[in-house]
Amino acid sequence: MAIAPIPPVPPLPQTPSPLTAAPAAGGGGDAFTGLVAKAVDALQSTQTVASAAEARAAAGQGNLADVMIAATKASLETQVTTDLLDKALASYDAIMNMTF
Amino acid sequence: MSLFGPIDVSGTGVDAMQTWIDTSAGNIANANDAVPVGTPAYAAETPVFTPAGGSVPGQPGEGVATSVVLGSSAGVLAYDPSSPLANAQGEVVMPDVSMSNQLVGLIEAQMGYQADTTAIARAVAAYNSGLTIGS
Repeated sequence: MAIAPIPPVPPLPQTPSPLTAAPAAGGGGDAFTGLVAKAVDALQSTQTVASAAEARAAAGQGNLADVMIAATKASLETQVTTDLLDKALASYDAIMNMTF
Repeated sequence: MSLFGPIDVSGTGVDAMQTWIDTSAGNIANANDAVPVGTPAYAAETPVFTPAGGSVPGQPGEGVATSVVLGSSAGVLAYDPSSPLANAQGEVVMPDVSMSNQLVGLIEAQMGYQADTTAIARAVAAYNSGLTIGS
């Protein structure tokens, strides 16, 4: 009697191939750098508003309270952004320093 | 509301009090503007405060909106025969500005200004203590 040929083994559907896994890992990196860039961008726009208000006040226009409020918000946002980035980088460092 | 909403809300309050001080200063500066009888006198400016963005139940407000309304320009008749503007009866028209009301309004505006800046300072202190969470 003739022996039937062995059918090819189908690939496991759940196993991600290295080709598709690599971009996903890159996407994670992009998310973090994107977050950092967005935070710094927001900080930059607040600083620009504060600088514009200060320039108007120095030129004798505008309103003292608006300048102080813009400067306070810029200062607070700087602290929030730097603190959050410090925390995020600290968690990265913790992972980097893991020993097996 | 944005991350620093309370600061913006108190900022509208500071602006409102600033407008009040500005209008009072203008009214006091023009309190002695005599005009001949029959011409419109200086109309006193009064700030009007309304909730910005309307009052939405269950949500924090957006601060205060300020507008300035002009009072009557009818003025009040005053007897001042030495004035070159006086008519045959020695009368001129003076602005209808109550100096005592203006000065009381100035004190109110100053206290409101201080209260709003204090609210901002408290909000900043709260944010700063929020930044120390976990450290």
